[in-house]
Amino acid sequence: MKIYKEGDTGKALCETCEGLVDTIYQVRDLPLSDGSGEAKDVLAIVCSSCDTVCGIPHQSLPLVQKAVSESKRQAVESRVPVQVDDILNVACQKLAALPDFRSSLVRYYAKKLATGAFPVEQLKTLLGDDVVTGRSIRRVSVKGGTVRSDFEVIKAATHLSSTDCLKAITVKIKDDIVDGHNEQALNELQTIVAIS
Amino acid sequence: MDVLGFKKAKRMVLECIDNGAINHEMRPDIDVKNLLFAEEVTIQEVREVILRARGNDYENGEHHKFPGVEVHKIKTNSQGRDWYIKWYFIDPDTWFISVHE
Repeated sequence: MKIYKEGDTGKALCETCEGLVDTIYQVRDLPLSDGSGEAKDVLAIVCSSCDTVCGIPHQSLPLVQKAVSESKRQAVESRVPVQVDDILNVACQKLAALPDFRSSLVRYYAKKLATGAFPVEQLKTLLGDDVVTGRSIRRVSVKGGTVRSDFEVIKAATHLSSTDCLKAITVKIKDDIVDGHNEQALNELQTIVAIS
Repeated sequence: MDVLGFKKAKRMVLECIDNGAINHEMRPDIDVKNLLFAEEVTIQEVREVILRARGNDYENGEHHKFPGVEVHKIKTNSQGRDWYIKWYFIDPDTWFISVHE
């Protein structure tokens, strides 16, 4: 197996330059596609013309895997009824955001609840809403930021499970965003979408 | 576009895997749904899937962003999982675009 080092050169396809380009191997921090973190100090294959990262050599794969794995450990993962997941997707549409924004959306609410900006006591009442009942068959993963620790704060205050916290948050998202009853949250989230 | 076709593309990608002549595409960030990046499969499992693939599991076509670059695709069910593997060659290496389920 060929092992590359910083400064080595090669060829790759560059999306920015739209063709086959000369490349140089450089150490870079590479973001994860879901915004949940980055792989640090990865030897990457970089376009010599425009500085775009075109890829990684196989030797860098373990470092990338470690970053993805660490990001997963920081995640809140639950199985929920399909409509809970659908509500998150519809809320993203309402905010003119891509479905990938779901994590940011839940993170926003988790932070507001954990810091007391939204009353955490309401979650138990919200959880009684019929809209979140049903078989839990779809997996939802919320990653990034301090979502895990925020959920721990919410769980300690409410004695609810992570899944029930997520369901209750989804009811609030439906009320605030999908049904448009919380103009302030709507405006703040639209700003976040616009700058992200 | 010069066309390699299934048998030659399969032989070449297996050789590249065996020789470690592999790169992984980034556009421009790390696709967390790529099973290799998510550590849900190993490169040896990918090798096995490609090795077992037959001609009717294979498609090729021109890269949608890079005219003249032949992209090879294997879409198959192997060991109870659905696989979708895409790659191209930049001599002498294989560039994996994605390994998805």
